[in-house]
Amino acid sequence: MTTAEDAVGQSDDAGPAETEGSLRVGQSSRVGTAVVVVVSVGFAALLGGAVGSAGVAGSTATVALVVATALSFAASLRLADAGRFRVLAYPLAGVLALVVGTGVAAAVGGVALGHLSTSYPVQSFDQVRIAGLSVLSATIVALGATVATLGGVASIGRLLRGETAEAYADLAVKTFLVPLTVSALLLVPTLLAGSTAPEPTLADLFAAALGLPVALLDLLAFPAGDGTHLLTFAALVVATAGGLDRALDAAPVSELSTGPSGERTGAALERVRRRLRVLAVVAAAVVPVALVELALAQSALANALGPVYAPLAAVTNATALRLPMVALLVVSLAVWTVSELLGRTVRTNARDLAGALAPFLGGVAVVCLAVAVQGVVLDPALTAVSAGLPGEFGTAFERQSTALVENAGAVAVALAVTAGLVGLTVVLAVAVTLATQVGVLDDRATAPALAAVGLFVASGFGPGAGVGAPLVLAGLVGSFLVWDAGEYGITVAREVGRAGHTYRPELAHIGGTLAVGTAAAVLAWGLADVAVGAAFGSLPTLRLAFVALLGGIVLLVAALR
Amino acid sequence: MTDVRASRWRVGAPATLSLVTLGLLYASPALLAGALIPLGYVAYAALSAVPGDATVRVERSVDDRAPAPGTHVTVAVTVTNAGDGTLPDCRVVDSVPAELAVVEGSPRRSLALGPGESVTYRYAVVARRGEFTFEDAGVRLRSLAGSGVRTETVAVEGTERIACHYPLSDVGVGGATLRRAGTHSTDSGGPGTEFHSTREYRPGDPQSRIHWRRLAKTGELTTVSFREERAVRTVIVVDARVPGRVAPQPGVPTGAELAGYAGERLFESLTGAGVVASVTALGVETDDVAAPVQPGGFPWADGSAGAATTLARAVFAAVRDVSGPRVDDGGDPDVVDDGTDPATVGDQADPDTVGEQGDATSATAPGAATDGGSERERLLLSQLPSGAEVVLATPLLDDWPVSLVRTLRTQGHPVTVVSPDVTGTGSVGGEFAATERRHRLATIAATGATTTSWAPGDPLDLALAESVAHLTGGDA
Repeated sequence: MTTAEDAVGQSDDAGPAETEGSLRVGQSSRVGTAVVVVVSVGFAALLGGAVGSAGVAGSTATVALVVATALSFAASLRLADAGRFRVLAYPLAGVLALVVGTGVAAAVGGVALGHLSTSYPVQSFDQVRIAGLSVLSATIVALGATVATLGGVASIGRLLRGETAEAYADLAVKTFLVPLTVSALLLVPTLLAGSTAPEPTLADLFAAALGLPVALLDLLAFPAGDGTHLLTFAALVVATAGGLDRALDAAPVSELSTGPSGERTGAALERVRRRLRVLAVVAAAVVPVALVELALAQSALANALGPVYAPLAAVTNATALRLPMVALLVVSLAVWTVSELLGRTVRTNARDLAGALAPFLGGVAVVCLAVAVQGVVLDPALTAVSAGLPGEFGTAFERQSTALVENAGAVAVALAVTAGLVGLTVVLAVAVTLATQVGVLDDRATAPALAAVGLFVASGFGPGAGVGAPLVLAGLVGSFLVWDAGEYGITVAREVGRAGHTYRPELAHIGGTLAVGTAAAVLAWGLADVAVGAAFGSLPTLRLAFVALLGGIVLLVAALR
Repeated sequence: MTDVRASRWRVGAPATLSLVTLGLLYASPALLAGALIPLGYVAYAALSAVPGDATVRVERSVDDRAPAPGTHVTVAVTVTNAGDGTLPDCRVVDSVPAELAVVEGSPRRSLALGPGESVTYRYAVVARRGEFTFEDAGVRLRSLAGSGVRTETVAVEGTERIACHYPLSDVGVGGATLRRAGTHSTDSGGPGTEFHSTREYRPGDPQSRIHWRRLAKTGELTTVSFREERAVRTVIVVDARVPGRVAPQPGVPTGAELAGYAGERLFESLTGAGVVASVTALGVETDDVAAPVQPGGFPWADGSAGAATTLARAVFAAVRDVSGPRVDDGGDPDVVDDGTDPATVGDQADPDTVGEQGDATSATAPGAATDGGSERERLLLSQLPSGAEVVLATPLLDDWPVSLVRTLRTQGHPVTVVSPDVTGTGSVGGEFAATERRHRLATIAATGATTTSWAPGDPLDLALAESVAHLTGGDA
């Protein structure tokens, strides 16, 4: 028969004997979840309100915004865990990732801007550092409070665990890649070539983006200027030979030719490919040598090379050589791409393919959303930011943003901003995943741990942002309470199951933790008061120090026993 | 017993360090003093421990030590703190035998016990055939801070065993006496004791049966016929075919098992009352059965044979061998949907697959006919003695028994159908299956057969009382 350890240890591998009250790993008891949610969200609201400078109405709106963000985060975690409906769930989760990023940016950014505008203008130079520290602390407090709310709401059910965090990070990164690529594609022509027309539309930008590879091929086929273009020539040879080799490898030539002629074809193919590879290697060896072309002027090169110069220049400039090679390069790239894609599609089944592509669908959905609402949302957002920035910074920002929008087009700017917001969510998700893997955040009780860390950080940086001592100390106690209640609840649910009516022991435990924390906080508050008026060597200070020393010795002895 | 110190408050040290650092960075006395909070928690965790003399007593009691299969048995566990200190967190796990399924409540409990305090909690298991022993309970004690953990096994006082026996197979019934002249009245006239009808005198009729009074009145010679009393053959047919080998939950007996159990109880009652009962079963493996096998693949235990009881026992054993739950068989999503397949119980917890199983419709009626249902019917019917009373024990989860009953009724056999109800899953699929089953019961009743439906939780005797009375000729 199993030992007591086995009997009590795991409730979730109980087998068919226990169908009632058995649960999946990571779910917390009701009491634990309730305590975590209420304490984390409550203290986050208090701390966030203490640093926010928008008054009661503004604070309430911010709290509502952050709670909505937390709910979106929880929803997207749930969707990222979807087994069967991945094709529908992942795109939705991607859009929600955008919502989460926007919410976090708005909440934290609002606080930062508010503090900036109250801190500036600065009276004197040495106050710059203090004001800067104050703004930074306020931003960190707001970030901590937001993270605490996210963690608190995500602790309902079993939404946030090590493995779901990893899946979510994966999903977020893939969703991020699509708007990033599209916005880069749209911005690069403008950045490289300068603006073509004021306020380019989406069509203009796409044409410019498609024009880039065409321009590159043009450059390759028809080199500009006189003199040797050995570098580009060698590079072209390498690319063509390599591309052709890959294309012949990927193309289904061996499948299409059968019988004795098939063997001969196969052998001939192998010979050709070997020669192509040799050619590519030789040309690749030439490339570093040809780098000298960039350093030296053509006249110096002519002097150095002597009689070889003219034929070399003729060969490397010959369009008759370059144009066919460019054409061959394009064709082999096309064949390679098509063969690879077809091969992969044939080998995987539809469901796996859909599952692999689903996150990218989310990115596409985000892009479409950004394109659809950019007209309505972009201008007010930029105006709000420039209004929030104090004095000169505001006008400068407005100028720069208007210029950028005119040059690069509102669409491109909106897409870039969208990519940035999704990137914020990516950073959050990746940070949580790494923290879980490293061990900073508990693997099973990830959400309560996240909420506790958020509250701890928010309380720790509070005094720097002007939060009062009572709230700071209360926030510290709250963070430990959240961590304790969450972890304890998960252990109880794992060992006993949720149907076991675990109220009394849990409330006893949480009450003990709360009592100890409150006692310590009250003591700390008294100590802080005394410490403010203390002077080294004065009698009251010495008395207090003596008492503290005695207490420390007693505790040490008791603990070591 | 193991005693460990759980390092739950490891976070205290880094927290103290970071608070001190931040306090120095911001020159904030509040933060520096706030470093007391994590220090306080570390001290609390270090000082908190499970009292050394903590003792826990566990007692168990069961409401029925010899239940019928399929009934719910309630187990009450009483936990007492026999020590002097408070136990803020005492987790008890009663060891339920692995074969029994818990259907109500949970054998695991978390309690807070003061000194001398005692708490009782209950849970229910489903009985199955066999003897089951409860082992010792596991107890885990934690201190208030959760930093001290003690795990131990506690011997449980009280009930340790429950046993659920099948009447024929487990408790050997001696050979029942077979009385040729039964107590069952029939509707045909002939020699007997109860008046039935009169007919014209034929030369050769016995003098004792001449209606002398009429002769005296009218001068006609008539002969009286009485109700013939003869030992009517009863045939018990147990349906153990594949569609019936499902259970509403894991650990609960399947429909085929319960039909076999009902058949055994009926056989026991009938032979005890002197009725000649033959037994046959459908859907069993005929390779190893110790009874003669008829063409059509069903074993036949003839009630008028010498070792009738032994043969019947062999048939019921064959039924038991096959009537366990269907193990793998993903193919046919059958009538009773969720949780019927032990292999898919794990999936039952996953919300994504429950819907899939719950959507399965009853496209299974062909399943009964595809394996030569009508051919089997014909062969079975050819074995039945004419006019035999047929008792069909079947879970009624497909339509083949309905067509069998119809055919039996057209051939003039009186039919009684005893059917255990295994459709109580509480899900949409279960409701659907229950509705279909009720419809089949109604169809059968419309043919003139007697139907008895019983839910496994109810006592079988009550449900069978009427049918048995009717079969043994109590109030024909």
